[in-house]
Amino acid sequence: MTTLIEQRDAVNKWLERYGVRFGVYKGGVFHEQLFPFDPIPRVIKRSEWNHIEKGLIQRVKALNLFLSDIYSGKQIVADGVIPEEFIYSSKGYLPQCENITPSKGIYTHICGIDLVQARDGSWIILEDNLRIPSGASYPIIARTITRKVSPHTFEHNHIEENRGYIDLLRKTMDYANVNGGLAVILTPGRYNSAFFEHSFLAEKTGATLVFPGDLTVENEKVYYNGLFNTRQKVGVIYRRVSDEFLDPMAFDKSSLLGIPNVMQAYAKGNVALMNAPGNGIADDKGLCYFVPKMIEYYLHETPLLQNAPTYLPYYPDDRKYVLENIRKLVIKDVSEAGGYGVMFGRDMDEEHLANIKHLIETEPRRWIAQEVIDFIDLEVLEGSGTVLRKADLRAFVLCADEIRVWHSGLTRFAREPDSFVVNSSQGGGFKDTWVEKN
Amino acid sequence: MGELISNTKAENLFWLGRYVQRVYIVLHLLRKYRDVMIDENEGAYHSFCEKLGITDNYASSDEFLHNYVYDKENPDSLISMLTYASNNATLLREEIKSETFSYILLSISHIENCAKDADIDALQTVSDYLLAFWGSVDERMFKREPRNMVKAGKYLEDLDLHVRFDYPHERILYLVDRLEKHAEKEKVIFNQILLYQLKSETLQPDCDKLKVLDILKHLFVVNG
Amino acid sequence: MDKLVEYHYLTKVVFSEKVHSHSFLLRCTPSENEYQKIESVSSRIAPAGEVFRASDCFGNTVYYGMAGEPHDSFEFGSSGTVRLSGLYALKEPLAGIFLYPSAFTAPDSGIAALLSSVRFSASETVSEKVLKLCSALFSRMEYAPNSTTIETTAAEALRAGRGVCQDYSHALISLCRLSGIAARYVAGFIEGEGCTHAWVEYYDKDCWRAADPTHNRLIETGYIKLSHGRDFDDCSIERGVFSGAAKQRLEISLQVQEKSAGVSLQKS
Repeated sequence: MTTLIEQRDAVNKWLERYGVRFGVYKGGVFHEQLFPFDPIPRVIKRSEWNHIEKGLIQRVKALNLFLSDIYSGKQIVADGVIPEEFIYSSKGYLPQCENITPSKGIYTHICGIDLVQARDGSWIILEDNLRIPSGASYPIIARTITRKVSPHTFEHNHIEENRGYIDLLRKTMDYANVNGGLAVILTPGRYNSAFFEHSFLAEKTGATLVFPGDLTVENEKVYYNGLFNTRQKVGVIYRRVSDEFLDPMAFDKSSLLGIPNVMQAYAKGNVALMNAPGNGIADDKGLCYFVPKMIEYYLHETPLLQNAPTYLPYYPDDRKYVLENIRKLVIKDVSEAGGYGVMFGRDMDEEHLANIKHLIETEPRRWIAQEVIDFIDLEVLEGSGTVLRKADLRAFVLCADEIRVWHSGLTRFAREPDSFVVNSSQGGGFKDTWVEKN
Repeated sequence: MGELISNTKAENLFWLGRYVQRVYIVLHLLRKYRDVMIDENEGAYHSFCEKLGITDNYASSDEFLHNYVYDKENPDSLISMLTYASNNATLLREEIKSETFSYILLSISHIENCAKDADIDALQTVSDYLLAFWGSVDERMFKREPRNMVKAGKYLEDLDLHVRFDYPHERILYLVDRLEKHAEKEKVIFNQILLYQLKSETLQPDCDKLKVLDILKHLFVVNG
Repeated sequence: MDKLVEYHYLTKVVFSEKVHSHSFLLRCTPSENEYQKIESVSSRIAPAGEVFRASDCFGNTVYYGMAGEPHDSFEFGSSGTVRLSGLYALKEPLAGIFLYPSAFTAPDSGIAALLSSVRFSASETVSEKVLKLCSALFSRMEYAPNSTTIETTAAEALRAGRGVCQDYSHALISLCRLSGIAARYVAGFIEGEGCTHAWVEYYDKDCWRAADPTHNRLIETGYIKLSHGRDFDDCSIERGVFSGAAKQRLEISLQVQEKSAGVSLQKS
């Protein structure tokens, strides 16, 4: 590992050479910047990983069953496990998806589940990202480069290969494909923060990268339009455009990023969309509390991985607890994403605190509160030494003929000491994640 | 694997080819003009700008050599043209492959790193990278249509610059012939009438330069 | 007593330049239910390639397709005869979604304040409560065409104190849901108006009944229903996306007349 650290400059040169970037908006202006890479990997022991893997598969299995239930009979609501208000007042619930059965019954093709490791060593779920999670490309590139500049490191550490993600992704696309038609990756365009990843995954999987306007729906089928009125039927769309912009006929009518009437082709089973539209209901922050209950309800199993202890001000007992203990809790606005709308009670001044308390009382459904997890710090290189930073792990779970967990993941760390916010949009960096071989 | 490319991608590929080739040829020309400007004709850059058809607002040969190469604010500069090439390539990563793209990124960062005190000589590295770019196009772009699009841009730009800078007639004939052979492969993307006119016009040693340049401007047609 | 109503509805979208690759989705034919029976109906969509018919997630009939070839106008609409029963009541199980706020009907403090100014008594029926809400709203809103847009929310319209049928309906829906009464948006036709109308269905015991907040009244008959949803956005009569930089102009014509009466009520 020492050699790997010594090769830091070489690694950065390669990152620059490949244009490994992500986009950010600062003051409304688009910039592309390098995603700071830290060469010290996060290493996860095999025994630990086996537990995480089992827990993630269990979780994703339950989430997929939940989505299938919610967009049809809603048995879990009828049985009183989840109050209907949490479904119908969530922005993530899309009635337009009612009674549509996606190809092979899969909703959650690619899940990016964020976990942290607490000081006692246990792994805790922070959130499930079941819509269009990004970040898988970075550890793949990091691994390619670090193996190049420091081959000896990998001779002495027996870790799982991670470039297999590409095959896993392609398999997932092919499995969902409804008719053997073209496999495409739909990007909103180059000014999307994850555009690099979209183009990288297209290159590596051999899928066609398509932009809004390249696809049209005719006779309930989706076509990719080539030069001079040539066209090709599309069988699967790995879309990186979010639900609300996906089809101006069904969702936001002003969307210029969508494919008009693609929902009709999808409902008819003429194209697969991955991930399925409407998944936002399952990764709604307000629903996170119910995931362990889903596991018990659908699988009759005990959850292997726990959420951070979560309180729903919606329930009077929880509300009372939250209002009394707000100083030690983290408060999240369920309608926000990407690290926004997250507030730590201990950091708020009196006025802000009073304001939030008032909002919790008047709009209880909008908030969740969680105990602050004291998660472990990881060593990060800074100057000639190392510093400690908070880090999380985004594990990727892919659903094809079976549910598989990618034997790596995106470890993101906070830029500032004491910060718990690891999102790349807020200046954090990333590490490769090494999973010990069996 | 899909074989089709969209109109937008075809255009991006074409312009990528043009910009890369323009930088490559202009680097040759700069070395030639640099040589003349040492002790023969300090103002030779005026004629360079005129032939290339760009605004000539450089106060001296030194200012020209610096700003024309390094100034990001100058839309005609080499660094700007490489940026345009990169903007097109960004949208084409899966068609041209990351390795091919990397030669443009390397060229940009090389120019950025030697901006302060460099002479034209330091830019030989960029010429090397761009040759590697074209080599990579042949090695890695195994799909016919996209490869032909980027080369259509290259061949067309080559001819355009050779005409502008009055290269010998035999060189022009060679480039017309190369373009014509290329057009055989992808008939639909070239206006066939203009192609015929181009051929007959350039057959004469004293061909009408402006007419040829105008034909070249309209030769490539992806929107039918 | 049943009423036989004949209607002719046509919208022409005129483009300033030719457009092509025009995808569309329409909700422009009456729905069939126990209150209204369709005796005959024919729809018109032109130009169009192959047109498909389906039900949307709320059970409304939609027509969709793509007019690929260049065209400078697009016509859609339907004509027919509808038999309306004397009682606007649709017996259906309650769908929970109509109890909660939607994008256009989310309440704010203004809507909450208006609701708290209304006094209900325990013995009142749901219909009586809805009528009270209608009246409270009616006294606060002024009918003013072009004062709002299709993007105006219930809260914004009430704050401005002005609006059209869409705004009245959103505001009433918001008030109903806030007071625990399930309510949904309805688009349709009424006698005497030259363009489409909007009203509200509210859930009473086991069926949907209707109120017209723009006219401050409960509905018994005479209204031809096209579609319903959480709010206006679910009931778009037309959605279209096309290629071409054209401006659009709409020409709408609607005639609704009772067959026995034989009088044309309005034309525009």
